[in-house]
Amino acid sequence: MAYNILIVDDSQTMRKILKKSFILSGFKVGCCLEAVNGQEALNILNSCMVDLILADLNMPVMNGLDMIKALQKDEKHREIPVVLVTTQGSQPHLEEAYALGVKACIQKPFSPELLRDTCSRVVEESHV
Amino acid sequence: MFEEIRPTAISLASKLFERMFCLPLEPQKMKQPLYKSPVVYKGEIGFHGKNSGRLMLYLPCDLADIMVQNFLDLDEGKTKESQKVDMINELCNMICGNLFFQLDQKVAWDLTLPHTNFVPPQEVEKEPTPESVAIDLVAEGSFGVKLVIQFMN
Repeated sequence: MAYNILIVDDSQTMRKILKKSFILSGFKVGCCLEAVNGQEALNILNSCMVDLILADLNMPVMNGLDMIKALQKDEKHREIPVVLVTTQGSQPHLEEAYALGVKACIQKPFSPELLRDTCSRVVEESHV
Repeated sequence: MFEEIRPTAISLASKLFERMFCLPLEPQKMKQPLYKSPVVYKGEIGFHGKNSGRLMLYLPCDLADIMVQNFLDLDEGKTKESQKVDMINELCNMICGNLFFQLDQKVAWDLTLPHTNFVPPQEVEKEPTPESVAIDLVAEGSFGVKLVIQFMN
């Protein structure tokens, strides 16, 4: 089964690396959408359905945590699993993210295998 | 933290260069000017947590070109300026985020948005302030890289 994914990161380089890592790891991606910040991601979600969101924390306009808070308030989107891909993996940040419903956190830099294993687990759990 | 930060930063920067760009990075054994180009890149990111300050990363243009080629699997001469700036921003983000995470996982370290611009090589040679940790490194045996972590009171 291929999953539709939304990558939310202000770095074009990191978005490319994520897409390449999915290909290298064998994780099956159907449609891969991209947003440069949380606000753009919310706009995209108004017209497209995705199975998984990968989001950075530190972004201009709307950061990752604010985007997740907005998703939680939206009945249509609150069930979409979110995986954080960030350098800010300190305990207080993670506690806040998990309390908001984040399913997993991947610290940059990451291996394609870690990305595949984490995303596979998250999408499988969300489909149960 | 000043004593801990130097070895942790060297180890972390070396691992990131090896893993992301397939380039060796090690401390300079002898202080020498390695910035031959008329301008160098300066990446900068601010941090706020138990301490506040900024991390600055200086890289020669030729090295940034090789790093982007290796990172994105591009051919020589196919790199764009925007890709180099984006890559340096992301590298600053990764060094800074991982560095403070390794030093103290229990503190919430907030990072500013990184930015990169050109500076003259003379800026790289400036003496560090007493509140700074300056680390001179060499990548691929010949490219100077300087990492400065400046704390603010």
